[in-house]
Amino acid sequence: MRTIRTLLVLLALALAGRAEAQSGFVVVVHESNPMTSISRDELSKVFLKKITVWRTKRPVVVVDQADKSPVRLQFTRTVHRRELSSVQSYWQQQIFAGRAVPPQVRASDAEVVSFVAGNPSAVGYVSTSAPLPAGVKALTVQ
Amino acid sequence: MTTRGRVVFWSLGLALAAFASAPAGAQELTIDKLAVHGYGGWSFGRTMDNLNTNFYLFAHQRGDYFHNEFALNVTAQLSDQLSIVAQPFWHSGHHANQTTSGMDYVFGEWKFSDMARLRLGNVKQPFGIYTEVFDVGTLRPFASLSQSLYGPSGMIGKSYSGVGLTGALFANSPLGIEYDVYGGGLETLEEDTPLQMIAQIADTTGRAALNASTSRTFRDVIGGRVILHTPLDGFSVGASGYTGTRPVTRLGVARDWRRTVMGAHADFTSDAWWLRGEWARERDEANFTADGSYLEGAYRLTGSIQLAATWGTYDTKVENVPAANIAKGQSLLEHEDTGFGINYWLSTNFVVKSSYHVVRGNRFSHPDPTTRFRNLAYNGRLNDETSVVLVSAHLSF
Repeated sequence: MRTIRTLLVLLALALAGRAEAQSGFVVVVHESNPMTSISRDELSKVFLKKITVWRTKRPVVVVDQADKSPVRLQFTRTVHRRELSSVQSYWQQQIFAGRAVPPQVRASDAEVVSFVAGNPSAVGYVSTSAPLPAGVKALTVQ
Repeated sequence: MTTRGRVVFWSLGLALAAFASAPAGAQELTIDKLAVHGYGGWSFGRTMDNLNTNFYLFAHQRGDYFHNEFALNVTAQLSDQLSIVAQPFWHSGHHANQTTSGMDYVFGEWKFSDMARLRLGNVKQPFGIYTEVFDVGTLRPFASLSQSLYGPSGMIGKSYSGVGLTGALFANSPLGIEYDVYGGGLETLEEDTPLQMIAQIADTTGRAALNASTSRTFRDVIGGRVILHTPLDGFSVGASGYTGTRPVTRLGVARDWRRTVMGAHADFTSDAWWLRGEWARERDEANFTADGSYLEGAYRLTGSIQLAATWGTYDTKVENVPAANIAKGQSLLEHEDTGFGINYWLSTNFVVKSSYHVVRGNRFSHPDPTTRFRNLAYNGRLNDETSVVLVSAHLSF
């Protein structure tokens, strides 16, 4: 019995470690953005365009990743705490009510980084393995 | 000016205002500033009893294959403050050659801040949960919205023509508020042949033909909606209302009669669950008061399969109608819909739905407003219960 319990604990730890490894993403903003951290809830509202202005009063420009990208899936589950389909339904609601349209989408980490580097108001996210060149910086998600 | 004329007028006005006020660079729309989306669908409906001549939604005894719709949604972001939104639609129904087209809405929005956005033009009426996405099949669990609120009862309009203010308060707190206030003109969806029928059903002389028009136009409308987003993720409650007048000639006297509609709703959505309920009361000075309410639930059994259930009711109280008429035509004032459905989602943007409904009452389920409807009603032979099967496919992008 003890052996089975030990195996179950090890299995749980292994799965937890795997999930942690897969949940990796980094939120990136332009290097001139004075913010260094953001709460998960605020970040979710920014990406759902419920908040469209930075605390510095500058308008937020959000850039998203493609629907099928693993980093989009992980970002959605971690930040919005929803499945991608729920967030897509939210955007349908916003679009056809004439209230908002989804963020622009870039096809890769490199394109997101390039977009953010060229736009002082931008915020995006990339996978943890993506290099962050000069012009962008990471934002800590609390 | 006709409705279409007003739409064209507003469209041109908004476009001119936008281009006149925008800086030169903003007039050149890049692809990032122009968003094009759309939705559409096909629906089939059939009543289950071959002797039942009632029509309900797009269902009748022989089955109706020709209910199709498509709409394009175009949003142009001309600057950080200014956007223009337009949604033209095409719809065919009952018979393949009955095609209509028009504008769901077209308006300009000037954003002062997240808390205040000014809207001018022909704007979707903010009322309850569904009015702003009235025809979008991928946002609801059944082929059609509950007729108890969204049927042709005149409870709601599709869009108002005028000016509105919308915004979100306390966006950074767990308890957020969304609000809308508006004023102008409003066209409601309304088919009231059952009410016309009950006014004369016990008469043996002086029977009048039924006016089968499906809309009413209200003037000097003011309305609003407030939605409270609770700390429970996905749960919100709200209240809506509007009031306006329309000219009606009764007993040879023409005057403006007021209609007032008040409603409340609760909405919970999660990855697996959609749970929604609404109630509204409609008070029309001209001749009736009505209460409508419904509950609707849907559960994602798997990523693709969704089960759904609904129950709704709508009851009308008419004024200045003899008791004998009401006794003979009580079912014309009543509606109750109990429905079950199973849906298959191929993706978030494409769903196939099927549902079975038992409808009691003839307020929204009755023969075409022709001689047949009149003869059956006069002779007390209306079917007051209708079983309906609906099959539909809906898409959006």
